[in-house]
Amino acid sequence: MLVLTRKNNQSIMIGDQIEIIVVEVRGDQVKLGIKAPKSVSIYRSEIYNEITAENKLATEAGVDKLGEIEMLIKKPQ
Amino acid sequence: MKVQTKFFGEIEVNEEKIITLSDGMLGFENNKRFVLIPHQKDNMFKWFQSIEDPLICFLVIEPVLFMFNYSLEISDETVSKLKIKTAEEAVIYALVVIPEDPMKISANLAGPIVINSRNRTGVQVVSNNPDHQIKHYIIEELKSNAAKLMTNFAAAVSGKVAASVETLTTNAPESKQ
Repeated sequence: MLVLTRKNNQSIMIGDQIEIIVVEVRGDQVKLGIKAPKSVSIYRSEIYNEITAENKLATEAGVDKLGEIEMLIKKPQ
Repeated sequence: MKVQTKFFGEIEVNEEKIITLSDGMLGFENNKRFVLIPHQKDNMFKWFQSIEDPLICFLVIEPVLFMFNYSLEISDETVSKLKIKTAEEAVIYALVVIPEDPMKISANLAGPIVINSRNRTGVQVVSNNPDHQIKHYIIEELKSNAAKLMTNFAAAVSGKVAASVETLTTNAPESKQ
């Protein structure tokens, strides 16, 4: 992994389209500004990872389990 | 065209029904073309079946079917990407996960799929609404909806109707004896 040291208001370029700017550093928080083409999706990594994991789980649903759930919904608890 | 499906064998699909997600879904970037198959006729659950890979098939539901007041703010970026012209064109699906305990069936409202029903293009978006959790428990939500309805109904029966309703209705007719 490439590691670069930057100060406030300094930035890095990724290719010629994407720029990441250090907007503010306060304590253990860093505020970043990102300039990128609209076609590039930008996510916080943890949300990206969570949704990716949840997508994988969603492919594991089976027809048999769904039958059980329909019974649960139809029958009053 | 013929499509191999995970649960229904080979089915015939009208090419006009194919939904294209040009970016795929997170973790499934190579699967771009899908077909939406109802679990059964008029069933609220649907299968979002990949055309490229029969084993890739997601269970989905429209969040409005189980959640009161569900709404999603669709970004300008998504609107222009999918060429959405009116709100009615946009259809939203949440991916459903069924764990070992079926009572804990959940829908992912944090990463819904937005589809333009007019041109059948779609994208998985990330909702910025903090109420849209990654695991939204459908059965709990239905129970809480039922409880809310009961509370509203009980309040109405005991005469605590909203002022707005009171101004709309006339007095109860006096009984003639």
